Amino acid sequence: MIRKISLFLLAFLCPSVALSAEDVVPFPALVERTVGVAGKSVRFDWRKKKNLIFVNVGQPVEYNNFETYRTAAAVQFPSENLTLGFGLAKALVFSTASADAIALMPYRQAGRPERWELELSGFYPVAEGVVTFRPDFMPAAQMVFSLAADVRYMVYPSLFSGQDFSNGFKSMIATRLSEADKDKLSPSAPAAMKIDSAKISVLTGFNLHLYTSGGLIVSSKAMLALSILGTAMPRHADLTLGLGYAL
Amino acid sequence: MKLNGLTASKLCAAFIALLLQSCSKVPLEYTPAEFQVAQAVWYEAEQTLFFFWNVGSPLGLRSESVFEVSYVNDDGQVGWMAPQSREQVHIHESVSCGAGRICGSASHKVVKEPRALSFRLRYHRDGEISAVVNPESFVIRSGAAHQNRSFVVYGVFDESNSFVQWRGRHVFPALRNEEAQALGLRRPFEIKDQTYGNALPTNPDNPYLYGAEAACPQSYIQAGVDALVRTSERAVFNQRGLPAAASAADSVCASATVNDATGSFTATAFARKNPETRAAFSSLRSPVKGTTSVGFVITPCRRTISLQHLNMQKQRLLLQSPVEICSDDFNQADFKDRMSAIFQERISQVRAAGNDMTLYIALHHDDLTKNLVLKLEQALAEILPNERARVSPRVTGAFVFDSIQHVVTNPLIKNLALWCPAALVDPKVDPFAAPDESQRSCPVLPDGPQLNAGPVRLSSLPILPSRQSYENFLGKFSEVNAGKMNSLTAFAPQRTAISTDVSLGDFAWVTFFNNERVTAGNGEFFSFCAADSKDASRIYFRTAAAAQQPLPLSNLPSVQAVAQGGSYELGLVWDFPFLLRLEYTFYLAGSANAVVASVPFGLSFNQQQSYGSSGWTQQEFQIDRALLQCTRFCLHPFFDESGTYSARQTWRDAMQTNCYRPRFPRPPEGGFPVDP
Repeated sequence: MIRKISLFLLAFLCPSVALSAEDVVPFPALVERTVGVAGKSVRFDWRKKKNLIFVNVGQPVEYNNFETYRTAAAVQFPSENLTLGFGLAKALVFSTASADAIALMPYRQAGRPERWELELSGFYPVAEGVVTFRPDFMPAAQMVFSLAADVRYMVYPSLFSGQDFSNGFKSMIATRLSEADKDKLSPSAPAAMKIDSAKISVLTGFNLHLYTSGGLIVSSKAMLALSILGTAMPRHADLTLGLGYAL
Repeated sequence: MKLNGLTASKLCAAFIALLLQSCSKVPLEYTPAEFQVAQAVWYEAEQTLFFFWNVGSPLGLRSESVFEVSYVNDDGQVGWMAPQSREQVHIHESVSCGAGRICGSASHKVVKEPRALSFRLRYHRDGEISAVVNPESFVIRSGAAHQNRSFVVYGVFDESNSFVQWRGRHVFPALRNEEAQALGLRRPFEIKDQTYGNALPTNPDNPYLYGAEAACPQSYIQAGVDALVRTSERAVFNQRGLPAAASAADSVCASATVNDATGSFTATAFARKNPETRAAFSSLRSPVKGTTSVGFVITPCRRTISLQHLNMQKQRLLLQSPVEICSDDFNQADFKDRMSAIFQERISQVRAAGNDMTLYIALHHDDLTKNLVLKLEQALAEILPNERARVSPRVTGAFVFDSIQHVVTNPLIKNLALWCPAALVDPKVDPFAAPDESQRSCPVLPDGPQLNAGPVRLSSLPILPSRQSYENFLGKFSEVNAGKMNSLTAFAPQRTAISTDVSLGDFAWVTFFNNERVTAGNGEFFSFCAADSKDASRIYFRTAAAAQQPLPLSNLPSVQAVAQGGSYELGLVWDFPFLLRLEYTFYLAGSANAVVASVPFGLSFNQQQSYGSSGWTQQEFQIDRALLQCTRFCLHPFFDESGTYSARQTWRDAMQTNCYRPRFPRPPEGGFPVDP
C-alpha cells in the first residue's frame, strides 16, 4: 500500500515517469544519476541566466620571494556546456624580507611587477548536483564542478607615460616586454626582481561554483599557470575565491 | 555550446595531464657587477684626482647600488666613500649611461700623490656585499700645459673666418675627450685679451697650440672683439666678428683661464683661420660643331661589280655628288699618289667654306689581295695626321664604308679613320690586342639569324653590311627591307691656332685647345676630388717644363705641392677625333612563301647610333668641384664633413686627393661640438 502511495505521489510530482511498477526507479538512484554527469540543474538553473558577475580575490603562488595578491571583477556568459567570461584584475606585488635580502646581493629572481590583467576564461562543467550545508538551516545549493582555463594579458600602465599614442599603443599590444619596457618598470619593481618578459600567461585548473536558489554564487578556483609563451616563470599555482550573482 | 562525448573526454585527459606536471621554485640568477670604465688620474700641477666609472651588470643595476672609492696617500687613508659625497674641484653632472648602469665622474683636491686606489660597487646601500676592482691609475707630473694638464683650450673659426669659437678639450691618458664629457665632467673656462696677427707658433707636439707661448706675440693687434667669453660647456662663440683689417691675419691669440684645485691657471690659446679655397677652374670649354661631309666613291669605272651594292653604299654615306675615283688601275705604282692628290684637291675646295670636314669614302671593290685598301690607307695617312693638328677648318678624320670587312693596319690612321665593316681580330692570334674604334663601332656580324616559322621567314641586315651580307640578304628578301640611312653627321671640336696635341701612346691624345690653365702663387695649393666630377678623368694637365708629358688632373695637387706655385695648362684627352651620329631605318624583313609566289614584307624601326668618341657630345667639362685651390692658410688644420677639426693635419697634405667638404661651426653655436 505504501509503495503504491509513493508511486502515486511520484507520478503526481513527475508526470513523465511511468507508473508501472517495472519502470519505477528509486529517487536516490535518480539523484545519483545527475551527479558526475553534468547536464541538468536541479536546485538552480544557472544555464538559463544571461550573465554571472563576480568579484574575486586570489593569490598567485609564484614560487619566488615576492608576494602577489590579485583582485578581479569578472562576468561570465553561461551556455549549455561551455561558459565563457572575461574580467579585469589588479595584481599587487610586494617585496618580502627574503626578497630584500636577495637585493643586497648580486642575485635576482624572476617575477612580475605590479600590473593590471585582462582575463579571458572558459569553463567546462564536468560534475553537477545538489548539495546541502551544515548547519542545515542553510538552503541546499546547486554545485557545479568545472574544468577551467584562463588567458591573462598583463598591462603595465607606466609604460605609456612619456610616449606618444602610436608608441604607447604598440607597447600595449606587444606580447612581450622589450628591454626598454623592463628598464622603465624596473624602478617600481621590488629591488630583487628580474622582470619577466612575458605579457601573456595561460592557466588551467578547476573551478567550483555553488549556486543558491536566490542566485548568489560562491566560487573557488585552483589554477596552474603554465610555463609557456616565453615566460621565465616556472609552473605555479593560482588560487582564487569569489562571490558572484546570477543576473 | 555543446561538446560531444569523445571531444569532452579528450579535453579532460589533456587537462589532467597538464595538471600533473610538477611545479618548481624560481631560481636565483647571478648578476655580478662589471666595470666598463674604472679610471683614476692624478694631475700633480692641478692637485686634482679625477675618478671615472661606468659599471653595470648582466641583469642591470638599480639605483640602490652605490659606487665607492678609497685610496691612500701620505696624509693618510681615505676609506670607502661615494666620490660625489666630497667637495668637487670641477662640475660633474649626473649622467645616464643606459638603464641598469651606474656611471659618472668626480674630482677631489688631493695634494699628495694617491696610492692604492680601489673602486667598488656595493650592490645595495644597505648591504655590505660589493664588487671591488683596482682601477686604471695614472699620475701626470707637472710640465708643459698642453701635455701635463687635464684640459686644453683652442679656437676655431666659422666659415667666414670672422667669428672665433673657443673650445675646450679634456685630456686624459686613457679616456677620450667625449668620453670624459659623457661621464659628466664639465670644465668652465674663460677667454680674455683677444689679439690677431701672423706669428703662429709651430710645435708639432702641440697641435692645439695651447700654452705654446708664455704670452700672445707682441706683434699681435687688439682684436676689438668680446672682452670676456666664458662657458662651462665645451665651446662658445665670440659675439663679435673680427674687423676687416684682420682679414689677412692667420690667427687670433687670447688668454685662456681654467680652474683647478690650486685656484686658476692661465695660458695662451690660439685660433687658426680655416683654409680659404675656391674652384681652381670652373669648366673647360671646347666648342663642338657638325663637320662638312666631303664625299668620295672609289669604284672600278670599266666594269661593274654590283650596282645595287654601290648604290647602297652611296645611300648609306648620303653622298649626293661625290668625287668618283676610278680604281681599275689601282695596282699601278702612282695610284696612291693620284688618290691623295684628288683628296687634297677636294679638301682644299671645301676648306674655303670655313668649316671642319670629315671624309666619307665609299670603297666599292672586290680586291681580295688588299692592295687597294692598303693604298687607300697610305693615301689617308698622308692627309689625316697633318690635318688633325691644323687649326680649324681642318679635316677631322675619315669614314670609309668598304665592300669587304677590313682591319686598319696603318698606325697613323688607326685612330683617325672609321673603317666599316671592321673585322674582329681573333683573340687567339693576339689576346692582348685592344680593338680599335672601328672594331668597337661597326664590327662585322654574321648574317642576321633567320627565323623560319612555317612558310614565313624573318631576318634583318646591319645598316653597314659587307657586300656578301648584303647580297645574301637580297637573295632572300627585298631591297627595300635592307634599311636606309636618314642622317649622318660627324661632330668634332674646333681647334684654335694655338691648339696642340700630345700623344698618350697608341690610343689617345691630349689636346690643349686654347691656353686653358690654372696658376698658383706661393703658399697656394690644390685639392682634387674625383667623386665630384665625372668629367675630371678627361682632363689632363702639363707644365712648361714637361710639355710633352701631360698627366691626369688628379696628379696636379701632388705635383704642385712639390713645385710650389707654377702654371698648369689643362687639356682634354680623347681617343677618336670625331663622333659620328647615325640615324637610320632598320627593317625586320620577312617573306611568306605562297604556293607559287613569295610575298616580301618588313617592319621598320628608326634607330640612332653613335660611333667614335662619345666625349664630343658635350662642349663643356665641369671641374669646378673636382679641382679646388687653396689660396690662404693652406697649412692650417681644417674641418671635415662631420665637423671634426683635424688639428694635427694641414689642408695641403691631407686634401691633395681627398674631397674637401667642410662643415664649419656656425655662430652662435656652442655646446659640445664633435671632437673625439
